[in-house]
Formats: sequence, C-alpha cells, structure tokens
Amino acid sequence: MTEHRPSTFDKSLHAPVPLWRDIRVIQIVAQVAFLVAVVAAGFLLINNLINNLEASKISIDFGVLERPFGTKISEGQLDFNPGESSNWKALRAGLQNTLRVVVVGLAGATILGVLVGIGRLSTNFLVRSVAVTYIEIFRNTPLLVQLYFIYRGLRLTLPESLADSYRLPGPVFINRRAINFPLVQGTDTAWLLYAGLAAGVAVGIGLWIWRLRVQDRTGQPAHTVRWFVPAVLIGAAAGWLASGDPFTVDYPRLETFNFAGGDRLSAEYTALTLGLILYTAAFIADIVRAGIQAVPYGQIEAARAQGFSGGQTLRLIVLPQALRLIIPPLGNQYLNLAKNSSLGIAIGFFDVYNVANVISNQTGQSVALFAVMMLIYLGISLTISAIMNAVNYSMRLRSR
Amino acid sequence: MSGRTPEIYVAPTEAPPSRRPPVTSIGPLGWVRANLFSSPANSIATVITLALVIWFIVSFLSWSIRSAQWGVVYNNLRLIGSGLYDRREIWRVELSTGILVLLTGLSLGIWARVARAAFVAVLVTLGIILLVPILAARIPQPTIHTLIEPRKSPSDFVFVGYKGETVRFTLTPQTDLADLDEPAIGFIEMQARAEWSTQARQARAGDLDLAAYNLVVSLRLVDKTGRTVSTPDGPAEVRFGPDAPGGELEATLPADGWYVLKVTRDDEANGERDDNEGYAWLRIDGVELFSSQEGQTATREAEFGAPPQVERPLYAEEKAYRFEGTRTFGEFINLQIAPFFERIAMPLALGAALFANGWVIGVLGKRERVVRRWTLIGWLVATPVILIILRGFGGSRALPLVSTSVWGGLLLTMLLTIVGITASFPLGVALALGRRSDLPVIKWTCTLFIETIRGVPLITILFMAKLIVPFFWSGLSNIDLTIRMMIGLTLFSAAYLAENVRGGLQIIPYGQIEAARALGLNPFLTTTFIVLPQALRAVIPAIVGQFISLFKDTSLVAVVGLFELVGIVDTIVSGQPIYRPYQREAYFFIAIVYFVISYAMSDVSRRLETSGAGSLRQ
Repeated sequence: MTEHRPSTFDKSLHAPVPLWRDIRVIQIVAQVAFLVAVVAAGFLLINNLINNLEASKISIDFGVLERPFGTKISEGQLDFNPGESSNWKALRAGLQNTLRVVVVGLAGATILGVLVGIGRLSTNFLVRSVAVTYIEIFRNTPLLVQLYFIYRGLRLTLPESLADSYRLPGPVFINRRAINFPLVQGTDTAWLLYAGLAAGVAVGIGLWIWRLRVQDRTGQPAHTVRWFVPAVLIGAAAGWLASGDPFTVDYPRLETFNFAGGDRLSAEYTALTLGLILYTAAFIADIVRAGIQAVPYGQIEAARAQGFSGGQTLRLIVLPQALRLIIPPLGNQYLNLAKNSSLGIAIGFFDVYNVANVISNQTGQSVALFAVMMLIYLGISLTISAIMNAVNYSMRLRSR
Repeated sequence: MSGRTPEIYVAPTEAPPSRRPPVTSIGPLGWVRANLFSSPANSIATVITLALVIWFIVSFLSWSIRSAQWGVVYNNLRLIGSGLYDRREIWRVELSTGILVLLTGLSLGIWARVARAAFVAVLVTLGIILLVPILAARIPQPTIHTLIEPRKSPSDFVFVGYKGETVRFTLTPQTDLADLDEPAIGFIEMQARAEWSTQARQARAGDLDLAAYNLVVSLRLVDKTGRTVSTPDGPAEVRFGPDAPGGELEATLPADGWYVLKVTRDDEANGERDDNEGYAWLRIDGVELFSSQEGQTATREAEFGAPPQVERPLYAEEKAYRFEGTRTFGEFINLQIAPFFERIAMPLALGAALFANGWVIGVLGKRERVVRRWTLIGWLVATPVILIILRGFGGSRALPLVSTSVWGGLLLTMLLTIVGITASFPLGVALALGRRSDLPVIKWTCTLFIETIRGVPLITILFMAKLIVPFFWSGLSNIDLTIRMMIGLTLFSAAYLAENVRGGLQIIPYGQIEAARALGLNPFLTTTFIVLPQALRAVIPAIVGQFISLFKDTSLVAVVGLFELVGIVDTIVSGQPIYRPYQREAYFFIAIVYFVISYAMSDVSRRLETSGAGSLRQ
C-alpha cells in the first residue's frame, strides 16, 4: 500500500477514470445491452409467432369476436341465443357472470371475514377457537379442492330429481341443479314507494344533521337514530300507501322438466360464490385480526375509562384506527378474489374466462382470445386497485 | 352534620382472616365463568356456538363413521401417491422421497426448534397407525347379504378362509312385508339391492303373493378341490325350505385357502326352473371381504393359487358389494380405518425413522459448519438429482426413461412445489433488485413483468403456457406439459416473491449501503453481502407464506390437464364408476393432505421467526 499524502496534489494519482470503469458509462452500456437483448428476444419471439401462425394457417384475427358462439350459456344474460349471438356477446354475458360472482363474493367475504376476525379476538374461548379453526382450515387448503368439495361432494347430497327438491318456506326449492326462489318485482306504481323512501331518507339525514347541531350547541344527547328511523319509516309507509300494491311476487312452480317462474341461482354459481366467500373470508379475518391487534391496548383502556361501551369502543376507537392497517392488504385479497373467480372453469360456470376458453377452442384463435382475456382481467384488477386506493386515501391519517 | 357525634374510624390492628377465593372464580368453574359466561352476551354466544359446534361435530362423525365409504381413498393410495408412475420403477419414487425426508429432518434439526410435544404426537400417531390394524383383526368381519331369487340361478360364493376361522351361513326367508322392511345391514350384493326393492314394490302393489313361499335351497361348503368340508356334525351341507325354515350352516375351516359355497335351488336340480316361489336373504358371517384392488388380487393368487373354477362365481370382493344401512364403530375400524393404516404403516414407519435420523444428526451437528454447509448443498443438488432419478434417460438400462406425463399424485404436487420454490426464489430476488434498480430500462421492464403477471389469474398463465408458448418458440412444443407448467408456476410465483423481497429491500436503511460503499465494496458486493442478507431475513415469513400459496396453487394444473393430487382424484372419482358416489370422501382426504403439509410449513416458519434463526451464522 502506498502512503497517501493529501497535502500535495499528485496528478498521476488522479488520472481520468478509464471508460470501462466509469460508472456512468457502465450504466448506459448495461442498459443499452439489456434493451437490445429484450428487444431482440421480443423480436425473435414475435417473428416466431408470425411464422408459426402462418405455418399452422391461423392468423391473429379479432374478427372472431363477431362470429356466432355455439355453446349454450346457462345463466346470466337471458337474451343470449347459442348459434346466433356473436362471440362478443358471449364474452359480455361471461363478464356479466364474473361480475355477479365478484360483487357478491366481495360483499360476502368482507362481512364474514370481519365477523370471524372479530370473533378471533373474542374473550369467549369457544367463539375464539371456532374462528381459529375456521381460519386455519380454509387458509391451508387449496381453493380448487374446496370448490370441488362443495360442487361435487356436498351437491351430491342434494336431491337429484326436481320433484324431491328440499322445500324451504318462501317457497324456496333446492336441488342439485339450482336454488329456485320467488322473484319480487315492482309494479307500475312501485316508483311511488321508491320516491317515498327516498324522501324519507332525505328528511332523515336532515334531522340527523340538525340533531348533531343541537348536540354541539346544547350538549344534549343527539339520539340521531331515534329521529332518523321514524322519518324513513313514515316516508316508506306513505309511498307504499300511495302506490297501492307496489310489488308482485312470482313464485317458482314445478313443471314437468323444470321450474317455471321465480328466479334461480344455478348450482355452479352458488358453489363458486360460496367457495370464494369462505376462502377469502379466512384471509380477510386474519388481516382484520392483525389490524385490530395493532391498535395499542392503551387506546381501549382509555376508551373504557371514558365510559365507552364495548361496542362503542370497537366502533368508534378501534376500527377507525385498525382500518388504516387493514385496507391495503384487504385490497390485495379483493384482487385475489376477482382473479380466483376464473376457477369457475373447473366447475363449469360460464364466467368470462370459461367463455373465452370455449371460443378459443372453437376457433383456434388462442392468441387473440388470451390478449382479450388479459386485458379484461387487468381492467378488473386496476378498477379494484383504483377504488381501494381511493378508499385508502380517504382513510389516511390527517395530522393537524 | 345531623348532630350525631361523629364516629372515629380506628384501623384494625390485626390482618383480616385469610379466606379462600370463592369457588366460582378459581379452578375449572372459574375458567368457565371467565372464558364462557363472563357477560349475558357472552353466555348467549357460548350457547349458540356450542350448539353449532356440537351439531357440526355430531353430523360429521356420524357421516364419516357410519356411512362414508373411505375405500375410494385406501384402494387408490398408489394413484394418489405417485399417479401412473411405472410400477416397476417405483423404487425411484421411494428413493426421491427418502432423500427429501432425510433433508427435511436434517434442516429441521439444525435450524428449527421442534417442540418435544410434536415428537410425542408423531410417536403416538405412529403407534396408533401400527396398532389399529392388529386390533381390528379381532373385530368380527361384517355380514354379507346376497339375495336368492326364484327365477335366477344363484351364484356360488367364492372366498378365502384361514384355518380355524368359523363361517356361518343363514337363510332368512322373506315371507311377509315385515321381513321385507327389515333393513339388511352390512354389505349387500349390488345386484341384490335392486332386486330387493323391486320385490318390495311388487309386494306392496299386490303383484306378489308372499304367502306362496316354497323356496328350497341347499347350501354346501366345499374347498378348492371340490370336497365337502366336514364339521363335527357331519359334512357341511344343509337344506332350507318351507319344511325346514331358518336354521344355519356353521363350519370351522380346516385349512388356509379358497372355499366355495355351492348354492342350489331344488327346482334347478329337477330341471324345472319356475317351480319355486319366494325370496330369501342368504346371510354370510365371518368371511373377509377382499379389496378390489388389482394388487390385492395378485397377492391372494400368489398365496393361495388360482381361485377354483365354478359356474357363475361371486367373489367376496368389495367391488361386488356395497355397504347398506349404518355401520357400528367396530365395523368402521375394521373396514375403513384398518385397511388404510395397514397400507400406510410400513412406508410411514420407514419415513419416520429416516426423518428421525436426519433430525438427530441435525441436532448433534448444529454447531458444526460442515453439517450446515452440506445440508445446504444437499438442498441445492436435491432438486436436479431427484428430477434425473425420476425421469431417467432414454435407452438407459438402470434408469429407463419414465415420461413426465405419467408423473402424478402427491409426487407431482411436491415436485411442482419444490421446483417452483427453488427456481422462483432467485428469479424473484433478481426481479425485486431489478425493480429497485436506478437504471430506468431495467426498472421498467421488471415492473412491467411483475405487474402484468400479478394482474392476471394464474390459470390464464397456465393455459398460456399450454396453448400459446409453442407458438412463440416451436422448440417448446416438444417440451412436455409438466415442464411447461413448472415454468408457468415459477414465473407466477417469482412475480409475487419479487414484491415480498422488495418490501424487505425497502426497510434496509440507506446508511448501510453508504457504509458499504465507503468501505470500498462495489455495488455487486454491497447487494450480495450487505443488502440481501438483511432484506431476506426480514421477509422470511412473507416468503414462506408465498411458498405455501405456491404449494396450494399447484392444484390448478389439474384444470390444465395434469394428474397431480387434485387431477388424479378427479380421474379416480369420475373415471371409476364404483367410486363416483364417494367424491366427498376423496376430496376430503386430499384436503387433509394439503392441510397437513401447508400447516406444517407455516408452523415451521413461525418457529423460524421466534427462534431468530434464518441466519446461518449466529
């Protein structure tokens, strides 16, 4: 090692850095090399794709979406005719089915997950153990196995022939094919009821705000709910009376080969939605548990000391703070649920993925269909992300 | 205040006598009060939950013990274990499993503190698994019922018996509706069930006169050579009829081997087919049912020779019978649990011994650098070595090629997982580093890759690997589906892993990097020796979580057409008609398999976290 003497400036020690050791040059060269490699690989692959498609006499043709779709889609869009409606319409029907599953699934999984997550922290030993067992079982087994167990295993215990369907009050008929239940439809005058209800809610909100003002001014208890509920009820009752008979109910009736009237949830839809709810709720429950546990115990003690009840502590002190920690991972679970809905293909549910798969099998246009499908799923994912980001932003900690 | 002289409080000079706390606040009663009935709301919750839990447990137990048919599981254990892997080459699967079990034991011994309770639990389980089949042999065999009809020639019943066993045959005539309605519990010949209900329907409709019963049947028990077995009361031969109703034929078998119960109706002997009227159950006690598995048939024939040739034989095979009614606990142990344990006892005991060996070496060599190093090297080398062992080479004599298309069951699930883990880990770390890079081209490429993969469902990627990849590179279409699925799973898992690792990279204080630079480490050395070790250690739980979900996600390749655990069960229950009604049992079983493995993985990860291990140099 030579001894450095900083006092004297020796120019030979400060020769310009050679190009191959200059970090700026290295970075630029590395990036260019990487870019060239990526572009070359991409070009090669695309070239291969074009050659192979030509060789197999298939060209990428998004026009397939205009061609008729041959298979029957058993649910969702009712104006769908196999053999006549276009593939495009089939995809739309599939997307509708996917959204039906995703929306119901999100709501169900959130409600169940929050309940189980709170139950997981209960002081009640039994409730706590049941919640833990539920979470561990559903988190540690694959969703596909759960779906098969529900769709193939549990469904086999239901009566096969329509005449033997389980009949619940309503009447609701349950058999292997579907759940048939009465459909409530609004009549021509139903708008009067809705108008009355809306007016009631508006007045109720007005009263709510007024009561809060009164509380601020006088310190009297606000009793907001005691004012709000009657206002809504009165509005709704007035609307109901004005409209005479706002609803007709269409009851399901057993005919020779099927049920007529009413509405139905197919076994596939029910199994997929139920499976997604049960699976995702287990993950949400754990997120909720972690979020609540992260709230310092002093906060709860302080709330108790201030005279808050258990429910009030949870609602007003714990949950608002926990939500900030809960929402980002919750958004991930929502994304997972939306993506997992594509497992409908395993149990024959016609979601958008299944429809696209059928089209791709019928036409051989797998490349085009996969492009469409990726766009659709990216679209769903981005929408959910955007909504969750907005919620996260609105829940952020506002420091003064 | 009120004019009274105020009393002055004088503190007692003695301590108050000590009292026991009230019974309701200590001991089990206190626990119940504090944990279950601390408030009215809590009490209500307890009662409701208790009712639900009891209902669930009772209905589950009653299903699994009294009516579930677990034969779909224990008759197909080979398929569930290794799929259609060549039976002659099965030692390769066993060797690979052995390597993995040994390595797992070694690693757990070195890095995880496995509680003593876990070992006790494993020992107890092993003991039960070894003991149950032995005990079950003492429980009497279930009853077998077969129906004798007036217009169909009865079958001769062929079975295997052991010396000293007592078999009993009873004929129960069906002479009135009460007899018909009496449930015949046990194994019923599948054909007989349909005939029986037809008869019952006809009797109720009045088309069948049950009073005109004149069925005469002779039973004769012969051994393989056709000689009538002799009993203390003479030859084992009996005749049932209206003049000699009821009664039974009981015989103690003189030797091990095949036996035949000859069943003859007297009108057959006379040549008059339609002479007899009436139905009767032939009830058979003390005969062991064979499993319908091919291997079991082969074993039986190897032991006792070919079965005797008879006209219209009816073998005492599970395939020909099904369980009717509800079974007792003894029958459950004997018919459902014991065969399963019998089949897994040997491999499980060997595996446990191997695991324990590895664990002991690991515990003893915890401080030895060489043991730790070789364990790590072992893991790195294990995957390619196992893949080579399992696949073999074309044209090789010692290791002939076994196409990956016949790999299946748990074997394939574990292979997909292990390959996925070992390949996606370096890729994920590279992607995470790339995404954090200062170089915009690399950064944006990695970000695009990660976000695209994370935005679409896994099943899309798997189908793409199946359908589209060959278009991009025709060389790939020759690569078989299994390898392509491994690549698909690896890419998918790597994208998620990259996000986990990125989380770890973000918590490394910038000072660490500056310090490394100041010490003269170049960026590569800084990343390798300063940043990554800290970042990875911080995200071990997330990484293990990702590996667990990779393990569960391998089930999706079933949808694409591989026969891993879910795929093979799918094939079993939809391909073999006799198992079609038992899908619940099959899926429940593999759910348990998945649960045990992923729960064990998450448990080890928790132990790693609390033991502060994960660091190789302490």
